[in-house]
Amino acid sequence: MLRDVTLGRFYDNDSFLCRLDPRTKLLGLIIAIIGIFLCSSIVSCSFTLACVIALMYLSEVPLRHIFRGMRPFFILLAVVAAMNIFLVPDGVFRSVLICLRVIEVVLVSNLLCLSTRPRSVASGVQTSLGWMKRFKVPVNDIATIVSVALTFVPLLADEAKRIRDAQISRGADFSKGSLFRRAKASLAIIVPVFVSAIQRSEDLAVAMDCRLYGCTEPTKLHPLSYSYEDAAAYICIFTYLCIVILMKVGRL
Amino acid sequence: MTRSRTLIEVKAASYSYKNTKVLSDVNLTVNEGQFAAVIGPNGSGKSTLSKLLNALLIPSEGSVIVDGHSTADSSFVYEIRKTVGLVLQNPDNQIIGDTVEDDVAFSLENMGLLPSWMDQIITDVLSRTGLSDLRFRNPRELSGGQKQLLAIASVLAMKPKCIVLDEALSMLDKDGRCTVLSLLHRLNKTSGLSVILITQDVQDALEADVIFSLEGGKVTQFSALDFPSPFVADLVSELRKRNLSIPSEVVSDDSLIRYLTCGGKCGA
Repeated sequence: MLRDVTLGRFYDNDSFLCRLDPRTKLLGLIIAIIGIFLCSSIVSCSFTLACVIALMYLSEVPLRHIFRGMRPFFILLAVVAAMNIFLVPDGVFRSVLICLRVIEVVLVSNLLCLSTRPRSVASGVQTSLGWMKRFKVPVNDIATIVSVALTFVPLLADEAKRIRDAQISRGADFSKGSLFRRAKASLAIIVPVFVSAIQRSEDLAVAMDCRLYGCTEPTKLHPLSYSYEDAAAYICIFTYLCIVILMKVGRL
Repeated sequence: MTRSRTLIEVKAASYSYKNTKVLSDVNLTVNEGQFAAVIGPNGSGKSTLSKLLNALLIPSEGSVIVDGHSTADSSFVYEIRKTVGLVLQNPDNQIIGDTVEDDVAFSLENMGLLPSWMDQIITDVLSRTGLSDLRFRNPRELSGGQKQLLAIASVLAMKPKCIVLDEALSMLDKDGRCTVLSLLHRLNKTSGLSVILITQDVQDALEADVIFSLEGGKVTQFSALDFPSPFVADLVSELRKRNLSIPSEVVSDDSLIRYLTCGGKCGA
């Protein structure tokens, strides 16, 4: 499961989605998720699904890569589906719909992570929330936290894998026994990973201090700029939102 | 180039974490353009000393003067950190950007420079560290040595007068160490950059102008000449004088024995 973390694993290609401004993509993600949760019928769900598939095509990321991040969610989905089927009237239909929606949301968020560098996500957040600086919200720090978190997720995932292998080589067993036993055994991974995360963060804080973090209002090497592709993307996002709302109003 | 001007002066500095004294009454001076090495075993206070030098820690007694400013004076903190750059041991933990150029740009962005200016500095620094070809690569894909070169490049971008390496060679393989060390010596000779190399390995320190030995929180100063160099190093240099070409990898008793018993055929 640890191998499957796509968070922060940027897939470097020069696709349309990759080239878009991070602000466009962040807004697009929010609108897409709102749209997906507004859908409650087969027709509207198929529409959002079609949009997600179109995005996957535009990202040019291999399907294998996109779906790798999905594996952990299948357990969650199975539980949700089972509960719906047995507890809710008309459960089969509802559970299919819910699963579809969750899958779509995860796919869209995965696509954002795969198509955007963590530092661009950060500058997107920083620029979009720039107006909050007037209310003394530490926007720069929030953006840095987001980008550092995104860059360190794959690093910690790799570390967790290494520690897991080390514990297995010393005779630990994470795959046998009751759920409780397994949860208890996984402490042998969680605690060392946690300790190392704290050590890493301390080092990183020192490195950032040394490199003058917080010295003055920072500038950007690549200031964000919109292109005509972003205009096209905004039109698409707006159209998508309108269609979803119309379908909701028209009970389609 | 004036080699005599004092850049860093540590005067009777002590530092303690809560009740344990890590450094006691440390005195040392590093001049502009000097290559200094600090050697000492684990827990001798090497890392604490490195943090004292660029105002990450303030000595509890005594003072640290960098380029005329005391580190205790908080209005000069950024000035001091610009003058004395610090490179840490684990290269993975100090990489912030997600491309090589982005990482170098981090300190420049924090200084609030204009993008065109930053671009110029990045090009210059990357060519000096030999990373120009890797400019748009993801730093996580680089080798350990390259990552450490990147960390040095990122520090160099601030145009420091001194660079402190806190065991920055200890996680590298032989090739990586060689590349980083020779870069440091080159920078020291050509740009007059002061280098403070903090290390556990006596070998790395032998070529320094001045060596400080740190033990139990106390500092003793040696000049590179009178430093008790290990027997192997003496023997190798004597053998070289007798026209035996011994490869530079021969640094330990074992490798020298292996080299000599194989008659120089199987290398180190």
